[in-house]
Amino acid sequence: MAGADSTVAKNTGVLLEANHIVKQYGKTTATNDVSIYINYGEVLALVGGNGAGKSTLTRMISGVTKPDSGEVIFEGQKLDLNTFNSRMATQMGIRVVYQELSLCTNLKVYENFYVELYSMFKGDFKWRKNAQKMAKNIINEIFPDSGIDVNARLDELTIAQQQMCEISRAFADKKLKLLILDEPTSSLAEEQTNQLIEYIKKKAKDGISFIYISHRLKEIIALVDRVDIMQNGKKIWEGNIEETNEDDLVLKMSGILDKKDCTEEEVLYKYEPEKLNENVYVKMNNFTGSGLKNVDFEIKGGEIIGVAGLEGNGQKDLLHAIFESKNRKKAGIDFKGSIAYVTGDRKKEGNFVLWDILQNMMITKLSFGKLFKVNNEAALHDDAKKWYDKLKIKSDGMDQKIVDLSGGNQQKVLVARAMVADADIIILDDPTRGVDIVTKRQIYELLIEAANNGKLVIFYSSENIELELCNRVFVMRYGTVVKELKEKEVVADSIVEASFMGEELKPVKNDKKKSKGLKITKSDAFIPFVAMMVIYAVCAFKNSSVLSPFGIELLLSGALPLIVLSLSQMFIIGLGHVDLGVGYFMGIVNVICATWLYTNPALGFGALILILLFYACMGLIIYYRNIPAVIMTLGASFIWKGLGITIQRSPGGQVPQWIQAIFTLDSTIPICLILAVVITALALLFYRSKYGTVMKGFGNNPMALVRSGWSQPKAYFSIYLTAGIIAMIAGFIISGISGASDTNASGTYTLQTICSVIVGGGYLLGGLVSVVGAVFGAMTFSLISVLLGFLNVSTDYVAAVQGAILLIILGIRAFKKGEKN
Amino acid sequence: MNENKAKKKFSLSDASWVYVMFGSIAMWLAMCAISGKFSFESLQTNIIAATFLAIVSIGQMLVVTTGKGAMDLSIPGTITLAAFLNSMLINGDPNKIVVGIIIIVLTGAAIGVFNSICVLGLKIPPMIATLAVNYILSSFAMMCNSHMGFERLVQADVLVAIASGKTFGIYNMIFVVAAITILVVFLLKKTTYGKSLIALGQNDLAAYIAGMHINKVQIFTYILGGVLGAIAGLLISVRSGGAFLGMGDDYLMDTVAGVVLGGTLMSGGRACAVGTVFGCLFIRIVVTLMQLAQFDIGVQYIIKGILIVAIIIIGTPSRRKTEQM
Repeated sequence: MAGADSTVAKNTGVLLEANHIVKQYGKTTATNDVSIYINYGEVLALVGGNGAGKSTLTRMISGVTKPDSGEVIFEGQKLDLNTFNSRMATQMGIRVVYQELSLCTNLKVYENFYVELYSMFKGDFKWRKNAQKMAKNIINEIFPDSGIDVNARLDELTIAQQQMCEISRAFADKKLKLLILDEPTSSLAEEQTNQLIEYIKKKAKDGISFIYISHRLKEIIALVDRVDIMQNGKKIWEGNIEETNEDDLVLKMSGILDKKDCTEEEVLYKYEPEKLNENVYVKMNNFTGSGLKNVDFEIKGGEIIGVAGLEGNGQKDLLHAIFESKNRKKAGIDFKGSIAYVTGDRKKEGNFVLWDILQNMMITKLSFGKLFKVNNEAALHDDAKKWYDKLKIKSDGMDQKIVDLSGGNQQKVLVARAMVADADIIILDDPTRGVDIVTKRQIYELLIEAANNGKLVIFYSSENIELELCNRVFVMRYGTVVKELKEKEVVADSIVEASFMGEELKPVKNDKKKSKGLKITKSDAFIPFVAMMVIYAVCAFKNSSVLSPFGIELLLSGALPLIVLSLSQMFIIGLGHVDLGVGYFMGIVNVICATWLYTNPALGFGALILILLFYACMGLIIYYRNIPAVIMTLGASFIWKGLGITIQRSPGGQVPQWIQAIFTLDSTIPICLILAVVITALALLFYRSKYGTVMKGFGNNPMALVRSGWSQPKAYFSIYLTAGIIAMIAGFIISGISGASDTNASGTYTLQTICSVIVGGGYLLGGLVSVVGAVFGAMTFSLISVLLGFLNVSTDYVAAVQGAILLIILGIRAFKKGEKN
Repeated sequence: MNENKAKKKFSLSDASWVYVMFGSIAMWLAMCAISGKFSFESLQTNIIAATFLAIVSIGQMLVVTTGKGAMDLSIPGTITLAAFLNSMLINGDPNKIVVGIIIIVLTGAAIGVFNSICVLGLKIPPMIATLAVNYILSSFAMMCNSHMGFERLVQADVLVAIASGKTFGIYNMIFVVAAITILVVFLLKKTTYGKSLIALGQNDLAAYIAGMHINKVQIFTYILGGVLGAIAGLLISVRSGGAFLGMGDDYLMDTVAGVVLGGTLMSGGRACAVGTVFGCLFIRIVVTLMQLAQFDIGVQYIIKGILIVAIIIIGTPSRRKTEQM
């Protein structure tokens, strides 16, 4: 290791340069002819306002996004940008710590190290141990006393701890040459921030280069060698850190120096309310909650209120809190008037893609009326037409689909939606994102007109210069309004300046270690185990024969098919899917065992392999055709059922001797117990294998794994294949135990497997499942049927009880989750 | 601009039911060819069989339209339970018809409310919630079954007239389905509820942001689905002359097939009631054809299963396309 370091240290000069990089998204230019370079062992800061192009630039350097034009030279070699991707970048030693975490929260800390750095563990049979060691060492090296247990599942850690893991993981790569950190300290406490800064400095001395993106100017002054300032996709200043200081950076970032160059963007509008409309208002009375703290203000109709601050400091929470109080009254928020919300995220929360302009425009107006109101289309059409003409929306007519319009025109439709509705309070959430200057001006004019008509306009923008339009601006930091700017104070520079205020408000992270109970009670399998034992005890109380070895064997042989089939379902649920056909799949295996396998073994095995392949291919169909797993498997369930009935019309048949022989073996330990333990152990081993760990990760954060270089279709195929093989084993078992087949009876297993996995601590989303838990869950469900029998409850109720238990468990979880949030 | 409008009128998305209608006619002609005789009677028989399916399918269509892969899997249980309630409550007694029907409809509504509580309140994925509810309902049906004697074979005359009778030479069921279809089309096209439902299915977040009452809309949709299922169950039991366990099971896949064939999007946001009706007719004719060809019941399941998967695969844009959108 020391040797490797010294070779890196020998290198001097330029590590990476990116020249004349241009990237356009539609009509917006994300980066416009930007050139940057970084030397070996240098720390470069990239600063600038929101949407300056920093993130886009780093995504291009790390191979995630392709630039439209420009060149990237790494270690003197020009990269072929057509083939350059994130996997190659990683191999060359370029890594990124993203702002949004790219960890799998259902995996343990050290497992996350493995799935990202898998190439370092090739052929390593002790990979778990080594990954643990690696994770522990690097985390302790960077963040001593972080309190992170590398054996803990990631979702047991605090957000700050998760971020420390993500940062440490990048440093664990021995080939690392360039590390890009995008707001790495956004959730770290001061102590850890300092630890990170010290560590970066140390590593830079060893020759590793860093690009550091942060809004925290103090950190930048303390850490970096050089600064590049970006604004609106251009680099507007570069220089050594000695040439500047915190105040100077703020001045430079607000763009005063270069204002002459971007007069186009300058707001020519300034609004002053003539008369306030007392009938429309929003009063925030020291409001705390939903990400906000002590927000206190009163705003009235006739005002245009700006909401500003660095991205993610509570601006959107404020808009949402006001909007949501319309449906659910919140203590501390009082308002009068109807509310409409105009989003700038057209794709995610604005457009109705199947609809034309007219329908998109009138929907908010409709929602102000009664739910079953019969609407007058002609009148709505005329209303919409008025705004359509006024806004000069460029299209072939109001019956054109909204998705066929340009971004700016889509935005006009969304603004018109609020205007058609004639809402008293208009909330605008970054409405000019990616919109051209002409449209922007139209929107400004419209807002002024609305305010003049007594409406209250609440305007959030990620571009501070736009907010010069407002008569008041609230600048937010850490969920609190840190500064209110009025009238003449409302200028972009003061907004930027105020955005950096309130550093002392940074919430204190309580990184207290969670109190650790007994380790065994923390296990996923603990609760299902207790549930099983309780029901077993009640059974024993009712009928003591279940305690005898023979009784146990009988119970086990009844439960074994369900246990194994639940393990199959567990792999599917671990992926975030559900198999609604697994019962009938086991049924068809059962039928083939009892028919062809007896009469013609070659045909029987051939058929089994074929259906197994088809089962595995469902994973591929689901991936490539993007259809819901439930529908695919529901359709397949009819195919399995039909096949079963076709091969064998009525229950019966004959299972080959060798299968039955397994279950009649004379041994001191019940054979079913041995089988149950062996199959469970195999499933456990499988999930603990290298690829099993990756498969588990795919149920949680497929994007992160794809970025690490894993193939999603391959993973889907493997998981479905695994589940198919296990379901097939279940089919063999039920054949061996019953000696015959019954397709229809196997259908009822489907719901029971889902129940077992859920009772066993599994979640339908997020890849959280437990092998042992599922086994106990399955035994619990079997015992419930037995118990209902002992209690002389008709078998009619068994399905109802099982369905009800499933709903109750999911209900309790939803309730608990709601309490947590 | 006018030209553009005219072109739009015939776009696939708006009039996909036309294709299903022609498809049904083609299938009927094929059936005539196979059976060797050309008869309108056979078409009528299929139409009447399709009417029962169409009622449930319209309910299914509304639930599917709420989006995010929602489906009502509690339909079989609803049908079976309603059939048993008919036998137990009405049992051919004309005096009990009104009360009986009210109770059956209310039961359907209660199932809808329960489904929506599970989906909205407990945040359980619709498929899983309605699957569990279906098991509970079939247990209720079993309960009814074991508490019932043989009195279930009698049907009230008025109900028989609706389910099997004719007016002016046309089956009354056709009028019933036509009325339900017109009502649903009216709800979808003219009312705020309809617009909200379609919007919700396209993008629930956008629907919320645009100010729609997305919870109310979903609750009403599940109620409507439950009520339609219950009405269908009642009429099915009247027509088949009784109630038996598992009588609703075959309807589940057929509703999905009918809905998808009719041009409704499985991912939500686009509903076509008329298409659903013709989709059901198409499915019924396919089943009759399979019976005419003397396919084994198992083969019929296989063909239906493949048909469903194929229709959905064709009807869903591929991964690459959706990512570009």
